[in-house]
Amino acid sequence: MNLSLGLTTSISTGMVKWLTDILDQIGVYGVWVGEDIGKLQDIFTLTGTILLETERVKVGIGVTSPLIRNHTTIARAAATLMEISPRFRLGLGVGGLQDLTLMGLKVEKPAKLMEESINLLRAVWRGGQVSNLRLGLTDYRPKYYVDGEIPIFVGARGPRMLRLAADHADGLILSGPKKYIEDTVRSISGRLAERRSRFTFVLWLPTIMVQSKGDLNLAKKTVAIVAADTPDTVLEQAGIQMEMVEDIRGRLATSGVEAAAEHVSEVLMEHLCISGSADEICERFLEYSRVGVDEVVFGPPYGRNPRESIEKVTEAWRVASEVWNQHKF
Amino acid sequence: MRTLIEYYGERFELCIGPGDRDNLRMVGIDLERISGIPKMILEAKNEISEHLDRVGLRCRVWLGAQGPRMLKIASKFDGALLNYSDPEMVAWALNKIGRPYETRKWAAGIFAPAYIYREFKPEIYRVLRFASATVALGTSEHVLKRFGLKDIVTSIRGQYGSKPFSTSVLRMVPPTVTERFYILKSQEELPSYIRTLESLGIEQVVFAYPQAISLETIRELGEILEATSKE
Repeated sequence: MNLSLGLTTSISTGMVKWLTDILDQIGVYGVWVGEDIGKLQDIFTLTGTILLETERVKVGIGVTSPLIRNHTTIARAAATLMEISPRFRLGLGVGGLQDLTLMGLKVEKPAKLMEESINLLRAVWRGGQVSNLRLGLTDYRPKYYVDGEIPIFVGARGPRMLRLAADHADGLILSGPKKYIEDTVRSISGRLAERRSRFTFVLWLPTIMVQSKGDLNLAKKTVAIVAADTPDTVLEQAGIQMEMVEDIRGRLATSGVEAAAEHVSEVLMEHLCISGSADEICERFLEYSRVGVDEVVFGPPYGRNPRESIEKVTEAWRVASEVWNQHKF
Repeated sequence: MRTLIEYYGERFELCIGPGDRDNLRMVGIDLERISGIPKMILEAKNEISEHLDRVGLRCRVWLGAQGPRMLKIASKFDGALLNYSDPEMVAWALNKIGRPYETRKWAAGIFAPAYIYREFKPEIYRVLRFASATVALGTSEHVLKRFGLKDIVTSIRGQYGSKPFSTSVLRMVPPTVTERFYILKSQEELPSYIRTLESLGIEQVVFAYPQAISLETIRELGEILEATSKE
């Protein structure tokens, strides 16, 4: 199993500079850049910068929404990133419900939209003439083509989107409680049995290295936000009591994240984020390998001191994964 | 822009404009159906500048302009890149803008299909003709009429309708039209052309496609410009 680092477009430029200086040396397989819509950095520019400033690690967008940009813009940007380096991977997802609502966007049949988006992007990259009236394209003739194949990953949670990813994408970016992840990987693996091409299960987990009470508070705040954003079906599938989540959602809406965090239980923490010492975090990561996950993403907020957390966790990972591989074989 | 400036320093400039109507139509954007485009572009400029100001970053925002509606708002930008190459047309456009650079920091530039050469290559000239024919066919009727090009361009437009330009359509645009929209100069001719532009108030020249069609043509331009600047 591989360990990658997750970051979002809310990241500061100082942090990006620090990361690009060390990424090739700290033993991570890749970086995934998630789009916080409307926040600090532009996702394509940021991804391009990381690709240009590194030489070894895979660099992926994980994820951007085809709802917020013209498909030809995504196609061209991805083609450029692929030209910068074949280490590029493209992740697509519909987008967070709250973000889409703020932008006045509503999507009907998101799985259908995603299927059309994937087909359209691949057709554009092949250089042929493309039309799709629903997506606004009429006899679009790209004046370029992509040499090679850009791997497409889908960020998915619901059953339709998961099936779509299994049938059309090169990989799946998952997040959620462990039980949900186990069930999902098992069911999708069954669907993949007929496929010959390689499929990668990526798991993005909010992770916090805990060294003090302050770190624990940060972890609770993160869990409160994640709980509010996780679909009920996913929480129910994991056996999480919905009353507990509803209470947190209510407090988050009325009194803010600090108040909501006070009511985050240990059980919920266990389900929705990974926290602990660097060694404990790595042990938890490795547990997912047994489930069938190919790549775990060490995602923000990392810890109260993100740089220290990243250094310690990646260092612990180098040791833990070595031991794991010896044991495995 | 913020990502780029913060990462690589204040070396960036941004040029915005509505874009080519035919290319935009292919990707689902019909400029004919959008009203108040100049206002939208100006609001975008203001939003970009204000955002960068708030975080203490600087970036010149140019307007890519050609028709009278865009030229009218050009003085509200930090500069205008005019989609012209013909000195007569450049002078006309600057006159329309009203020379804001006399009162404050404002810059004028041109952006045009270009081929600057030491040894003329017919195959690059052919690409230059197509690139400038595309510009000519996208030029506003007001401008075409002003410079006596309306009849010929309108008749060609009538033949292709709303279809994308094909090679055969572009070939129909005669050299007398395309030469008004491109920069085609030998090493010897370039200095005089640059001096003419400078006398009009042009501070920046963008040698657009097909000048960058190959490393060789880029290198050739670089060497010619270096020699020109020494003169």
